Amino acid sequence: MVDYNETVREIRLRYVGRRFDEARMPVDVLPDLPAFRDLLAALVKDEWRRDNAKRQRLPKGFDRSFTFDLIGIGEGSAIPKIEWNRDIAQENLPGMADYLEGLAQLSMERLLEIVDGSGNGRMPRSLPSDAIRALNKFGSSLRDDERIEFNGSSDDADNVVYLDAERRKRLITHVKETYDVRAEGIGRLHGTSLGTGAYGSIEIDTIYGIITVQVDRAEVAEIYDGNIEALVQFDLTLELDHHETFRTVRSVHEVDLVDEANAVALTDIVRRLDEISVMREGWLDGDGASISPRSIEMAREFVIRSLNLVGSMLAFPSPEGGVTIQMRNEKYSGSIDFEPEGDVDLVVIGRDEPFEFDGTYDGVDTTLIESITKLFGQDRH
Amino acid sequence: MNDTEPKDDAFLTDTDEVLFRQVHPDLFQHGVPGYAAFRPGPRDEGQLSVDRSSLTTAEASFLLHTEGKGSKSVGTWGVTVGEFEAAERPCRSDPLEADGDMPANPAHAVAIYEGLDKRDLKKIGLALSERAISRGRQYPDD
Repeated sequence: MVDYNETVREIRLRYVGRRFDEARMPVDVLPDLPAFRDLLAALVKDEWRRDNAKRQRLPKGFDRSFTFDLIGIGEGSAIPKIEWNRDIAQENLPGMADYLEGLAQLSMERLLEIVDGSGNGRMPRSLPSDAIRALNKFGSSLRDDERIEFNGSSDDADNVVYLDAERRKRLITHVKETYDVRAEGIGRLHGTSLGTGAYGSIEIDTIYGIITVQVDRAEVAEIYDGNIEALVQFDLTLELDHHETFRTVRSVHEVDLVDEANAVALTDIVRRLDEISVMREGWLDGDGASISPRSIEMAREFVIRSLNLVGSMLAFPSPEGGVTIQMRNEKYSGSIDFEPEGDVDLVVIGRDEPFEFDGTYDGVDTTLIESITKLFGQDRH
Repeated sequence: MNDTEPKDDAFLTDTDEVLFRQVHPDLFQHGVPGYAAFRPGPRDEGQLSVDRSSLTTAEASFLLHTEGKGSKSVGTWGVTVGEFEAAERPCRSDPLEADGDMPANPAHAVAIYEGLDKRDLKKIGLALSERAISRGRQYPDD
């Protein structure tokens, strides 16, 4: 059993993970908030139907009665505070606000029971289809070491109830068989098709298998045709099943051919990172620590997000078990250290003139990419 | 390294003297040594091992490291005492006697990195690797 000791009038979700330190809320996580609202509203509707079995339709204005406002983001990781707007509920369903609040409180407890159960072998037999749709969006950008805690909740062991990527996957695939994830990466162009209408398609060979992505017919002809086996950079939302087998492309955020100059350097550094990833305790004549998978993952993400500068990069293992990418141009020499604990340290010095720049970043964030681009984006070594 | 406290005259003062440093193959890519080769590792107790060019050659330093000690190296790079001093890293002589299978190394010296935080360690490693890269590999010839 779970407890919820707060009111649904103001719900606080605590996002935990390095990206969320110091009350930072990455914008690609913001769609979670309407998805959470939709999830709660779907469960409230289900409670209403259970409570009003003889009525076939929801009262007019029922959905609009569940309007939530983001009223602030608290500190201690990022804690978005969302407030149920009772005034709108009163306008749409006069005299029913207290009743709706009672239903919402029950629904919040049911939601917590579902989330907690997914981590403890208690799966729901079924969920309303609109709840499944909302659940497929809520938390979709969570990374492996991140979670959403529901402030004011507690499980049997008196720990706060939380949703993480694993629980989310288990839950969604239990009720639905598939789930959506955001996938950024590099693949090889496997095939092209011009199609018959405005859109053609390209096939990309990726770690998920061969993925077909719809693109403008003109782009297929002008950019992709004749470039089979060329590297392709992609940012997609994919539907995967519980075996993480690719089912379909949900949406295309970005897809582009990696240009020839960068492709050679990219292939080289990806191969080098693969070599580094298998270094175990005792490399460096016995002195090197085993290379952290997290450091490798961050270094790969950095490379993919700084593709235009890949020709300036060299990759090294660090004796402490991290990964270092070094960059040089005529003016500067710099290192980006992906530490085993998850910190990213940037240090840049002038090669001939006195100059120093340094910073620590929460993973591969935008400010890191901006700093690197500013300092190393001018020329190559 | 010797356990005894160094005498004042153990500190190296000839700023033009090149100190040889061996670079492990894993810290070397496309002809460039990584900066980690120019800072002490977690087991080095804040001291970077080097060999003095006034007492040995780049080739002999390489051979002692690889054939004598059985460690890996892609070559010998060099940083002067003056360049270490510019980074506020004093260097001192630290000759090693033979110990079991380990051969003696009378040319051994150390650059002292103690008391630095992680970030300064990185900046100094980067700066000294730039000096070493500018000087070029001392042995074998490129």
